[in-house]
Amino acid sequence: MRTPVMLMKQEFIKKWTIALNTTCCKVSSSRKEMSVMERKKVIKRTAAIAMAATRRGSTGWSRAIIADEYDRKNNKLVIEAVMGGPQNPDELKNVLRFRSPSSSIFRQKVIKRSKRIRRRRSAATSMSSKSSKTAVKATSLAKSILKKQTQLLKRLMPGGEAIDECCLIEEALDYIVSLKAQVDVMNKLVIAAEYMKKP
Amino acid sequence: MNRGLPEMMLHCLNTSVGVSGGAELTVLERQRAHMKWQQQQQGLEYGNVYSVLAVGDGGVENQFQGQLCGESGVGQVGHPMVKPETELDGAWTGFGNCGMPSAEDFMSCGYADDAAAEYSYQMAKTASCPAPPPILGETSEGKDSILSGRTSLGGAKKRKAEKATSLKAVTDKDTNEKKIQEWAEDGESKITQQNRSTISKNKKKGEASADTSKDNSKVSEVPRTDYIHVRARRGQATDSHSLAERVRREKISERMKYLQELVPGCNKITGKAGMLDEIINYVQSLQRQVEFLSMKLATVNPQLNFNIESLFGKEVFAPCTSSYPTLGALSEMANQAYTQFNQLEVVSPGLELRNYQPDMGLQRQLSETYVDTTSFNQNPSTWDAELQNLMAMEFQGRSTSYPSQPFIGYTEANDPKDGDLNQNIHID
Repeated sequence: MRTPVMLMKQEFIKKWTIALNTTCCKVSSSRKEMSVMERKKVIKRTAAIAMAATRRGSTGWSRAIIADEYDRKNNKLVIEAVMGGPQNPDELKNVLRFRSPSSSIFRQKVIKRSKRIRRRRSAATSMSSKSSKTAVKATSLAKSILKKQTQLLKRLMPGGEAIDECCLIEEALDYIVSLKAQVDVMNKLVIAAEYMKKP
Repeated sequence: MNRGLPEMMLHCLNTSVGVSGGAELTVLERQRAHMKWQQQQQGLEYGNVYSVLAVGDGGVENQFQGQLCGESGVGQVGHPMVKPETELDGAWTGFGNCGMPSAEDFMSCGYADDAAAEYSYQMAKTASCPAPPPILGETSEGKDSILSGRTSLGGAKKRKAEKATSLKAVTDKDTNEKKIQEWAEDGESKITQQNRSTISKNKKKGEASADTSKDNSKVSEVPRTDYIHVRARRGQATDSHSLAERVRREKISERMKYLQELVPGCNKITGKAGMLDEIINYVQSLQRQVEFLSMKLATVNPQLNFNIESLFGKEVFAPCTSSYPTLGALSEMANQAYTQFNQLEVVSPGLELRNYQPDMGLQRQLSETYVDTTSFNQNPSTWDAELQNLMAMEFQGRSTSYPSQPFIGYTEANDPKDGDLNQNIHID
């Protein structure tokens, strides 16, 4: 009787609980109080990790999230716990195998710089041949808009820089589905928690 | 003109497949008498070649063998996928007519907002394991697309497409030899008509053949056709690059269709740019919602270790804790279920479906215990029979529907959708 989305949500809740518990253990041992913003950050991050772990690294965005968080300090324990703890380290290894190398930031910078140069050049050429054809201009405009939007989408997706366009849409599909599930679960939790506050 | 192109493509095949394959092909054309034996050998060889190119399974080899058989005109080898090429031409148009509407039906009947979500999740989940029967055709399609998406080493795909077309061209030549009169009769219109929608038809064909072959190939798992037939229209370019590009564009637009169904308010927008815009907005809004909700959760809960257990472990059941001796153990049960689930994962890491069934069983147990515990409850003002049913069905809705009545509407609003989906997409 259970639908896949519900299964996904259940798994998400389980993993989220585990993640929160592990972070709680760590935080309570180190410090006493957290501000609201810190708490929010932790909640958001754990939710993201749990969501990514629910997909078991089958998609690029989940792998990217897990790899990112794994690189950050203090998060290794959480991820290891969420990904199944000491029982199956293979899965985690499998996910982290896809981790982008540490030089990715540098690479991005290089790409950006080269793009800037290219843009300058293309601008110069377009200034010279401005009066050529309007039709060509229109298509190129549409193309540039599409490109810009694709890049925006890539920036929105975690780990989206490394995906090509065809896979990007697939990943976006998956990402939207899981985000929806996450929002749904969180919404329900908020409603429940608020209701409990009232009486 | 029609004959010129296939011959060129045949030449292309000869050069591209390599010495052994090409030589064998010409042998095939000359010696029709010794067909049977050679076919098998050739089929195997082709299977080998293509299984390197495509992400190969047994299905690929079978398919190719079938292709060759059909080409030679014998066509009665016992595989159900096999169709003689002479029939194929007619069958294509048939598929165009009968295959498409059924797919559209599928689209229209269950493809509400969440349906697409479920489907795509299903698609991703079953990517590595044999699909359950009811959603077989769709998932196999999904599998194909996913796999080909994953293995998007551009060169390999291009070569694949090229090979597919060249093979097609070979078969074309044969049909041309046989049925040249028919071609002459129907003339250009038939060709263009055929060519117009060959890509989509072939996809449907793959779907249908996967459907039919599932029954007998449960023993030999995962029948998958991992190559794509591409045919150029009349004026279109036939070099490998543009073919691959066309296939890619086709795939993107197909994904876009799914996205369109997934993203609300995206139905009326046509054009890639507008749709991308809408998708971007939607993703942004979802991310913002997550941010907002986490903020809200942080403010509502004074300490961090709020969790689901604390939410409905203590406070919710506070008024009637005395009648709930089992509820305390419930969270433990959930944990147990989870650990069991984990163990199962360790046992069979590859088959996710197998993981799911025990999980479902456990969840069902859980919900049954829930029903039992609710039947202990003697508080009719807050607990309806309806609510109990809901809870039995929705493990999820529990967290909201437990506290009070106001949330019943909410879960009910969700519920019929879920019921529909259960009819459409159903594990078990």
